[in-house]
Amino acid sequence: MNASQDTIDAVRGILEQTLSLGPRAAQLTPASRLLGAIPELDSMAVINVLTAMEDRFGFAVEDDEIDAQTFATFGSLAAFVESKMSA
Amino acid sequence: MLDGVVATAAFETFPQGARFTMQWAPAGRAPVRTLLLLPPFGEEMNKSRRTLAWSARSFARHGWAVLALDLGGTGDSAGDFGDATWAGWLEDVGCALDLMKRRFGTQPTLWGVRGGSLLAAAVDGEAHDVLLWQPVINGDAYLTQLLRLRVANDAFAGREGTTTKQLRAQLEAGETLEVAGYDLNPELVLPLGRTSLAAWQPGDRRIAWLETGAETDGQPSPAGRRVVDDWAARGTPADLRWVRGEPFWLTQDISENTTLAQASIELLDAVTA
Repeated sequence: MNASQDTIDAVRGILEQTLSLGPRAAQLTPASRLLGAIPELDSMAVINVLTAMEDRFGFAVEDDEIDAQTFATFGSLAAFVESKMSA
Repeated sequence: MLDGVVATAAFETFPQGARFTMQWAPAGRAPVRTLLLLPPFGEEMNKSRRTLAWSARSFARHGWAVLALDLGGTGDSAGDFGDATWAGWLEDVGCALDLMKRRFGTQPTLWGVRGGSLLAAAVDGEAHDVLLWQPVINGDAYLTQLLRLRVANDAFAGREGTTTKQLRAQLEAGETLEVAGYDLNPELVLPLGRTSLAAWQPGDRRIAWLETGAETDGQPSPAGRRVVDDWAARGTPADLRWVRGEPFWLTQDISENTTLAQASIELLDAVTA
């Protein structure tokens, strides 16, 4: 599922704020790798990002939905959010 | 005294034990509004102290009095966090409200920040004005988020396979859980988990709901919008506004948000006028 521009912007904002990415956030494209490529994104940070997304969008992420695939790229994360919002 | 503000630290004797309070009040005049700060919980409170103290002082300069309370088992108040219960915290809030009514002779405004907003929704009694900052909307989702910290910690320590479901079952069996350095008492977190702003019937209250973020053109969250629309449909219109500022409760380093206080003054003064 492709994410809408609104979702992409919102996810970019969440990553920028929770990881303190600064100008790097603006450079993220759907193909940008996250896990393993952004040093700030450790497992605690993954939890913080999930929390910020739940607070913003009002959905709940289940334990078994938390996997490395979701956080592989900026595009995969935005697609995950889009799918949760339309669920 | 600095800039016309009197800040006073005190231990108040509540039936449940000594409670540490900080008060900021305008010097030499009666406050035009009084606020009881219902603080965020746990690590979020530690990250919030600076912004909240700064904001309380700006409120006092504006002519409002603010009382900040360390809930039982937190900060400098008596008790261990692991013994804190939701009912005990609500009693603390009730005692603090009584104290403020005696001291100032007015009905305090509840100022709920993050998790403290759930306390605001759980306080019985007469209608208060309510000011919410980046409120936790759903206690149940919040509890899952806390438990997820434990899941991540366990995974870090090589204990894979812990699930939030299983941790919940342990709480429901009466077990206290250690999460990120805090002992979570089931009598605290299970009732908290049953509290939500969406289920709250705010009735005849005036509510200002503020959210913040560092992006250039942010909007209130869709989740907040849904709750506020639903309240409006049930007869309680609330002001929902987003302002640009530091998300002080979650930033890795302590940050200060100075825009929320100004927006709060504008919204609540509009309500009074």
